[in-house]
Amino acid sequence: MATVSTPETIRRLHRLDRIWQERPGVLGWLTTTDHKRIGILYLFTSLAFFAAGGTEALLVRTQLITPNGSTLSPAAFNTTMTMHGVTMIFLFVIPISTGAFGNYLLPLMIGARDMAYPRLNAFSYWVFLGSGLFMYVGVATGNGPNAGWFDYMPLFCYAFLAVSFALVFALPALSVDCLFLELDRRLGFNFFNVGHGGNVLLWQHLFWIFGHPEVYIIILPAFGIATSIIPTFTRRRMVAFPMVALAEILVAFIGFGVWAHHMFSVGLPTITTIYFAAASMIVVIPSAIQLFAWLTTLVTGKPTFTTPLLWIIGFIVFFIIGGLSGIMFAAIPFDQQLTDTYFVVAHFHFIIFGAAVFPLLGGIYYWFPKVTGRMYNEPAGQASFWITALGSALTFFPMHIVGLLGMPRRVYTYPANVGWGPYNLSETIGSYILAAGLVLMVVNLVWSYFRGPASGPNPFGGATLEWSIPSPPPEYNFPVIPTVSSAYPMWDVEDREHDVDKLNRGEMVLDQGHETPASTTLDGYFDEILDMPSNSPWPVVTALMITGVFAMILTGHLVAMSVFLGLFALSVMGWHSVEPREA
Amino acid sequence: MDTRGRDLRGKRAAPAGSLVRRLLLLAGLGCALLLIAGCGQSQGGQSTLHPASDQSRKILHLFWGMLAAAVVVFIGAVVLLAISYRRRNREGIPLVEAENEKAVSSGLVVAFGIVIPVACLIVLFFIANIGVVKATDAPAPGQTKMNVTVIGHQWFWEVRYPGSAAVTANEIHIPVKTPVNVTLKTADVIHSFWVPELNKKVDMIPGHPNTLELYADHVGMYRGQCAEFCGLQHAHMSMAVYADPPAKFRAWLANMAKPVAPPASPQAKAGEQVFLTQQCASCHTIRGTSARGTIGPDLTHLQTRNTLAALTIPNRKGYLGAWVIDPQHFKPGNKMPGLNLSGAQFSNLLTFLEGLK
Repeated sequence: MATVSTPETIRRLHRLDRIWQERPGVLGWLTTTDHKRIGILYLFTSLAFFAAGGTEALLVRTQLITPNGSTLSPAAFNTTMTMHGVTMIFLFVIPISTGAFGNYLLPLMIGARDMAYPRLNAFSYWVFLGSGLFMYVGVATGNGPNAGWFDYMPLFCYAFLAVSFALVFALPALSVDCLFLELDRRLGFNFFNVGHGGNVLLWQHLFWIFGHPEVYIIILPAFGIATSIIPTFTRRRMVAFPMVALAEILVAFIGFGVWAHHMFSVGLPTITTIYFAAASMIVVIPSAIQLFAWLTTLVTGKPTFTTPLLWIIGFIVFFIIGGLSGIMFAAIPFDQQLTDTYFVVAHFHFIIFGAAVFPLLGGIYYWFPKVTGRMYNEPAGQASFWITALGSALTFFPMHIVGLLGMPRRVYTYPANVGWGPYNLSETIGSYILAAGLVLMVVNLVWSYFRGPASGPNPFGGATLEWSIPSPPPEYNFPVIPTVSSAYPMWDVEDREHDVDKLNRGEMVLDQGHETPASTTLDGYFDEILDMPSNSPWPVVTALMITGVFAMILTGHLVAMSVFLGLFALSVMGWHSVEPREA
Repeated sequence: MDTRGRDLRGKRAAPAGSLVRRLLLLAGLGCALLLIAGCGQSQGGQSTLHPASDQSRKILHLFWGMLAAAVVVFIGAVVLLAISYRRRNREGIPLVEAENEKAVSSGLVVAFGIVIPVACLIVLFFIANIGVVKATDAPAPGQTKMNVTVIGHQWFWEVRYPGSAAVTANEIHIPVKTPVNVTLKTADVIHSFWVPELNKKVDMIPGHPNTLELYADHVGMYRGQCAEFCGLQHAHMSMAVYADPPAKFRAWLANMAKPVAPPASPQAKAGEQVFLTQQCASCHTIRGTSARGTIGPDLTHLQTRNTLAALTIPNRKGYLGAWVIDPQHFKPGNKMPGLNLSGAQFSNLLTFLEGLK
């Protein structure tokens, strides 16, 4: 930013510092409602689960390195394989994308000072942590959605908007499914019990009504990150911006109409399968639009192939391969032949790891300077990309072939005489290489956190608002609520100069309280100033109580459950008895 | 972003420059591996690449067609990435798009992102989801002369031949070049019946029988495996389909329908008593004796089968004995307990089991 040196301006900044100051120490982290701190909590928690899920993957691969392997017992293998999937989906990819990236970046990109419901936001993190820990004790519960809203959003924000929509509508199906299951198990209901007139397919339908939108919940944040990184590193605006925004929203809608393509082999009527296959083909189109928008932007720009863009290139390549194999599954007979084999494992790892996680990793590199104020090491960053990408290709590509050769998924071992050995060997070696690439990335970032050169506010010439503020960002994010007139505000030089003027004049600084502006819902004009709650102990306490309630229901301790329920009610009352603090 | 940056980029041309080459190499390698896999004919495998029926062949042709189209798209994308890589140092490219360029770029997105995919998908839809679907659909009940019922159990396949007393397990015999209508049921959880060289897979759903056509156009053994996770020993739930010449099949079925012959020797007779008085008979059926258990596979003609425990081990003397002594060794978690038999009981039991022809 330009000059902010008038004494009055400096006083205003000090006032903002004081108003938005966080409590120090552990207590500060426990009671925080700052979206950035909550984002960081999500980040480290989900990365810890990523490490756990990755370790499980390596154990699975080690068991399968040769035919008739004996690293794990069948029971241990089945548990490890299940926890790998559950951890990666529910405890890593979703929380890191919506929880860490969404939380940290959305307000920074739209010029806000916090999320719309800061305490609910904190609450959702603590519930996530509780459920993740509980899952590692045994059983799963869900975590709730949260999202901000503003207008003039970058494509990143459109992607997260679509995700939030999908989360809100998809999760109830899973909740109902889990509720029915719990009723079946505990209270003798028979939703899924064929012996008493239930239907096991009901479980599958409900699961996949959640499960397929879930795939887009996973992939859309990646699309959002790609559409943030590509313009920065190609020095040009995204091609076909309205089409891409529309495509991101469309994908989240159409994704609700395709669930039964996971069930082509259960014996549904042919006409039903044909409908779902047609819907599955239609959902290809928004992805194709986005893919060619990225490619065209790259081709018509002037790209700089440094670490973040390399991850996005890797993402594009993996997404194309995974997308093309995905289209194959919209051909019903092919689906019926190859579903539940390693071919489908290959497909969804190209999508979930290559297409969803690569941009997350690229995004970690991209926003690392913003969050820490330091630059990562570029050669090591590029090396970590190449090692991880090579390892991923070696791990996941042979899975296509071994699937075509007839290897079913979820088998803890396989015989020697069916010709699957060499491919499995390659996959296991690949998984170690992949892990080495990720370790190198961790080493790079840890080292850079302590020793990296200072990055300054905008090391890449990024176009979105988060690059307008210092790195790391101050607690109040923006000293003045910024003027925004396009999706690339940093490239609108006049707007930025206008912000400096406003700060010097004391206009839209909102330094009289813990405040953020609200906009009108449809066209994003300034509407009113909201008082935001600051740090509060109630989210963490309430989350602890509700986790206790569900833990006790699932383990059958109904008396203890009632106690937790009472404490939960008390903490909700406590939450609502304390109004947002006035300055 | 500065001039120094360009030097750095120049130096780092090597890793990024090999991007295209590596991707092409990867794609080429993948295709080569696929071809090798496709050409190597392995008898008794369960490869979708070795179809032995019209259904599996049509599915494979569909795959090759889709793969060809996919390779074209992939190469096209890689070419675009290569072009963008060549532009990395170009001078005079504006920060934002010029207005006239915008129309061209959006046109490209519409053409490649909407028009061409829609056209390809419509073609694919009609070929795959109208054409091949019909070819792989199960025949209506009563359309085929030959019927088999397969019932999934944790973790073996019970095989019945309606109209005949024959019951067997894990090894399904069918006459070659004859459409066979298979009814698929389950005794417990969801399983999935899959013999890839003969047809697609179909799930076995509790309370919801499904059907599938099996047809083999030459004599041979076709391996199959449960394709839906069904618990601890999902991995050891395989089967073999033997397509026999019709005369051989009829002889086999006639033998399978008979009850067992009386034991031929005193040892076998003593072994039969072991079978009936120890726990064996509570789980297994041997037609022609009082053994009527239904938890494990029917053992009436055990020695007509080549394998034990759903293709886990060969059905040879040493393996059969080892299995009886410690069934949990080869297939931990299966429902058969180890028995505390004396040496004499064990050897008589084996003699009896080896006589079940």
